[in-house]
Amino acid sequence: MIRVRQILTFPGALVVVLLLLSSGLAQAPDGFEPETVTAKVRYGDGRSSQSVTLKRLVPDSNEWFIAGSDLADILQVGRYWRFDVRKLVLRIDGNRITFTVGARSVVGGERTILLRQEVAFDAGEPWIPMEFLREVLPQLSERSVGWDPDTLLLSLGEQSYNVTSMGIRTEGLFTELRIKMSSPLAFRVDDSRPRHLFLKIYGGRADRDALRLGRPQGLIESVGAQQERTAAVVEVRLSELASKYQSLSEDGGKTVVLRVEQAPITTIPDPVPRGPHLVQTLPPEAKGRKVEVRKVIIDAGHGGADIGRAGVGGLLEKDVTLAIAHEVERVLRRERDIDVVLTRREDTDVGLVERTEMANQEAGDVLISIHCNGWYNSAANGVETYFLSPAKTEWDADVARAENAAVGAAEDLDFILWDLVQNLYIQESATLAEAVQQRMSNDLKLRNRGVKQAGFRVLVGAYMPAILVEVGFLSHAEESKRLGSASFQRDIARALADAILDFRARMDAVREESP
Amino acid sequence: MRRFVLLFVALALVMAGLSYWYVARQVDTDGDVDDELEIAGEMGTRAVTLYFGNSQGDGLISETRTIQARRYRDEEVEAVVAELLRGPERDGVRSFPEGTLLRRAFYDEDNHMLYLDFNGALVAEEMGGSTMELMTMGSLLRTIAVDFPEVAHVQFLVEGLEVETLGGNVDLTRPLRPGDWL
Repeated sequence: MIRVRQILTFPGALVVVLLLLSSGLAQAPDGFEPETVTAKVRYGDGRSSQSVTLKRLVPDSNEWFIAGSDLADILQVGRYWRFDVRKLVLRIDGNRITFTVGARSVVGGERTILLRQEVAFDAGEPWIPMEFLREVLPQLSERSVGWDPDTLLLSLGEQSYNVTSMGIRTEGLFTELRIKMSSPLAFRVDDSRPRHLFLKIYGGRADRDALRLGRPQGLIESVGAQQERTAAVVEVRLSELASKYQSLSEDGGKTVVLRVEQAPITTIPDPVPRGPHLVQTLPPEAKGRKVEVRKVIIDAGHGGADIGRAGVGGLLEKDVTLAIAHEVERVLRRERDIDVVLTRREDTDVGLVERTEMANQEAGDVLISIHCNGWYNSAANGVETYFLSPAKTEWDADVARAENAAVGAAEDLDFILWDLVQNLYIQESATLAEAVQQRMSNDLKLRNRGVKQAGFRVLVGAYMPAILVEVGFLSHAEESKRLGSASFQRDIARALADAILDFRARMDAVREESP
Repeated sequence: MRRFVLLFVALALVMAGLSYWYVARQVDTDGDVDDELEIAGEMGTRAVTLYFGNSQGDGLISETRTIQARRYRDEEVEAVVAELLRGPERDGVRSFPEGTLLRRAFYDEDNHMLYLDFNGALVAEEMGGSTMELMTMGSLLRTIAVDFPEVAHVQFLVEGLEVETLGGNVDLTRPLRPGDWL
């Protein structure tokens, strides 16, 4: 008893006991042994394979960690380790990537990415979760990484293309380019550069040797592929004869088809100026649709409480559009066989969907919606004509349908069906838009801003060729003044009426060609 | 013996204090590291690309700025839209009506859907004309597409509600895909 008391009263012993206790406490929670394996690293650049040690440093997690020095070694990059702040910096392909022990955030260039696990510290150096190699590195550099946790095989720099090959076929006025992928990938076609189509395949890794065409074939002059960080971009140069294209998806999304069409060579030279873009059209159903222009629906934009845009000097868009609509009716009434219906005859508020419904109920053959334009400054001017963007490719439509089903809204089904309704007339709508744009810009000497496509509410669901024309800018002092004058309104109406007659003649010619 | 009991009590107290300290420290380190990082300003900054309409309203002009990185995507979107609303520093035209404010951004991670709730100024009288509507949407959607590529859909709201259009033209009744505006 005395001995015990002696020991306990001895202050040094107390410290020892406390130290023992605290160290025991500190080790108790991580009383787990990190699992260690040896993984094989295979290189795509011809270096011979090597082995690397991986550890599981977090209890209840399957994540493997790689030592910072090994990571720098296998990536062949420079490394800088500051022990005092426990930061590791790797210089990978020009990017400084910073890891901090105990933190999940990885700072690479101007981006910060959060890992699921914190950077660990073991055996005197930082250990990086393999998630960095698997998921982050491919985003920060062009290096490709494959990691198979079952066979413990890490492959670096091996090319695993998923945009693998292409084929070109020419038939009649069409040239088709087929791009094959190993799995369905989302894509988008950029047609903003004249005579070019840029097919951007998201998540695509292009086999650039396979996607190359040096000499012209049909309407396609050349094909080349570029690899971007998150997408493959296929550049297609087109012959100047190319006038329209469609992008389709086949084979469950694993093939993208670009179907380029040559403008038919007419006996009378076609004077219609093409907009800055190729016209994107839609496939199959549209073919052979017969349009006979007998009833024209004119939609004067806005009305009633909805004044539209206010112009210089208190001019209101709703008044300008109504005046032009009445004037178009007056001009067309003089034509035989053409009936005109206005969606509003007075200064009344009519809903957008009601307007389209009215056009459908009246069984119109053409819908023209008249609007005035606006912009934030007073510099913008000119005329532009819109038709509806075609619905996406079949595959996209499927995706949309699945998404809608997931949302579970019954009315979305209606929406898709009505969306497709205008698709049936997308070719004709494009032709009508070109006719209107040509008349407006040529006859009235207005700045030609081109034919454009967008998702206009009033055009969705129109069961006829349908366009929206912006006759001028109310935010532009001079144009606004002209738009307010009765004589200029008459000129606009005349140009629109002539465009409708041009379109009728074109449709009549098409019907005669294919009886 | 009394001395022994006293000592034992003192030792017990010290141990209790020590274990409390240890447990408290444990909780502290187990707590959100990101919070600490954020407070310490270690979330860092990120460069973002903003798009503004050009003078004629028929194209977009890009501008790069640096913003404070945020922990949540919603907050970062709000910061980026605030920059857009501030307008261009160089060429280009501020592509929102006067007084437009973003009330809140909400990102639904499961559906990759971003909700942007603006105040009523977005659909005020100044808004009108296809160019203004399309370029306002274009400025916003291309910026989102470039700075937040993971966002698949954007739904516009005004004062918390869906709107049919901004100014009577372009359909906003279904979510828009930023990718279509690249």
